[in-house]
Amino acid sequence: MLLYAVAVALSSHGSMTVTDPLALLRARLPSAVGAWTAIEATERYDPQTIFSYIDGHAEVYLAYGMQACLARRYRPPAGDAAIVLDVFLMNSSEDAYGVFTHDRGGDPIALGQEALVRPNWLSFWKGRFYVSVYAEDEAEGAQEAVVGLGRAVAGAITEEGLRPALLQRLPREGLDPSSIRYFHDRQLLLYHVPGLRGGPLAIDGRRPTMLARFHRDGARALLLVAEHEGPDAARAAEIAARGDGGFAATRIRVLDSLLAVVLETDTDGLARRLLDEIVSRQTESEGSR
Amino acid sequence: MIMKADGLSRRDFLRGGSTLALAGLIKPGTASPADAGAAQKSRVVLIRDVDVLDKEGSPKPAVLHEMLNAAVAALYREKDSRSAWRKIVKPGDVVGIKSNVCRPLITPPVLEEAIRGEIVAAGVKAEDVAVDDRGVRGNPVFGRATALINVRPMRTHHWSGLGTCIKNMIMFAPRPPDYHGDTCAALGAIWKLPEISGKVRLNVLVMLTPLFHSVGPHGFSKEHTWPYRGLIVSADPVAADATGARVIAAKRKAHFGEDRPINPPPHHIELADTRYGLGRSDPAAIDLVRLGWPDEALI
Repeated sequence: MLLYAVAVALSSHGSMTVTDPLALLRARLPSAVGAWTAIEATERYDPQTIFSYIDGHAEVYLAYGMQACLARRYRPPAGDAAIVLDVFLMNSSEDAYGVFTHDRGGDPIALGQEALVRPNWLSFWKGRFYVSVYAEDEAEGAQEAVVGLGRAVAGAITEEGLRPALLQRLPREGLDPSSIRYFHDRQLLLYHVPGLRGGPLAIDGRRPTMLARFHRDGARALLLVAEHEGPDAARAAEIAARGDGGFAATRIRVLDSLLAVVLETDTDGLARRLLDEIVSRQTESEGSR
Repeated sequence: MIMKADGLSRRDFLRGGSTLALAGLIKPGTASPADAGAAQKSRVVLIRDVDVLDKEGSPKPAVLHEMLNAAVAALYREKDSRSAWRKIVKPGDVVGIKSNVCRPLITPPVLEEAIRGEIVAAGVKAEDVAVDDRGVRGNPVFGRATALINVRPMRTHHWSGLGTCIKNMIMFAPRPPDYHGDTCAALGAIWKLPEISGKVRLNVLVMLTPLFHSVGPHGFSKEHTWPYRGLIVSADPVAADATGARVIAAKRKAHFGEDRPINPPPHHIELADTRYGLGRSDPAAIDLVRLGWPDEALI
């Protein structure tokens, strides 16, 4: 994993002061994009105050370890429809990636480490930052300004971060990239797989967890992989899931500290192949060390 | 256009009053709008007016005020709204109007002012009425409130499924995140706090432009709102929310062309009934009174 340098600056008194990454980025944010200008003070929220800014969605950011959020509004020369920039500093680059995967609707665009663009909304992640830029209304030129602001912010973020290691465990054939979700929160697991509500508690989503869908030869499957504290914890989760959820041997596998479960599948054959390939990828990974 | 509310006899009123009092929704001695003809049911008024929104989608103050008054009159089976408001509050009351300021789907300020005006007209001193949301715990009027009016817009919510009248009281909690577990299952418990218990006289679930699906960085997208042009009014927050939830569920089915359950499920509504005894969530236990514009009502 990349290490993030703690920014150190000299104060006017010559003493050392530590500046957090979001404060550094704030100084680099553009004051204008196209015809839109930042005319309101940039607001900063922490995990306690974020609810005063975002209702109904703040919990998602908190579930990914949000440390702080910068919000800045850019207004056009006429009218009230602003372009809203939200920059979230997460606990880790894995979490920035994770919150990016929460809503994967839209078209990929080369920006940051991964970005998606929809009408009037751009989101991307880079380093420990998850960034959202959206236009409050469909004003002329707003879409271009949204993307332009996104590019400027991405350029202002100098660090890059690693994706979750679990991503390397997923088989590649037939993988639908837009289906990948990463989280470590039970409510997010239930949001993405509502059918698990009331299901086996052993698959609790609290451990680093990845979901992905596969399509092969007309058959579909939904795979979950979760990293546990160690082999014993993973084995205990497997035993509990078999008993509570009734997962057959063809649908669940433990590999060291990894629990892999095929939650949905059209055929047992596809489930078995996916689990076998996870083992293969692990073996290849160990062989290449 | 809005239809006139039916009257409610004193005998009917007294017969219906005990149920909600037992449920802890109505302070003893306070008027109750429970349906006398169906004493075990909670009375809910759904009122809609096709003319309530202007071309920009903003509420027209006069029309909205008229809707509010017609709903309150129907809820209490009074011929005029002034009599109904006098059963909701009385001189000497200190009234907190619990609003919702979360942008962009806020409680319309014109509705807050309409409620405030009616409360003052019912005999409450102007200085004894306050509107607040985030600051309720530090608001001196709320601190000595004898009555609360709960008013908020309906929206889908990423953690609780729906932003409801039940949920609107979360700002009274010392630590709101304490109630976020299991998709906000315990929201009903908030209503047991001494600042709230027995004080909420009226719940107004604003259904003018509800949000039926949450996407986007703030869980809000204008394209997933629609001009339903309604208010849902009840003394029972659970019954009001359950009714609103039916509208949202129906809208989702109509929009998506298939059953697309609200996600996460807003089970705090049912649990407020079954676990906390706050009111009634079963449609069979709700006496739904429909007033006004009937088209595309969805339920």
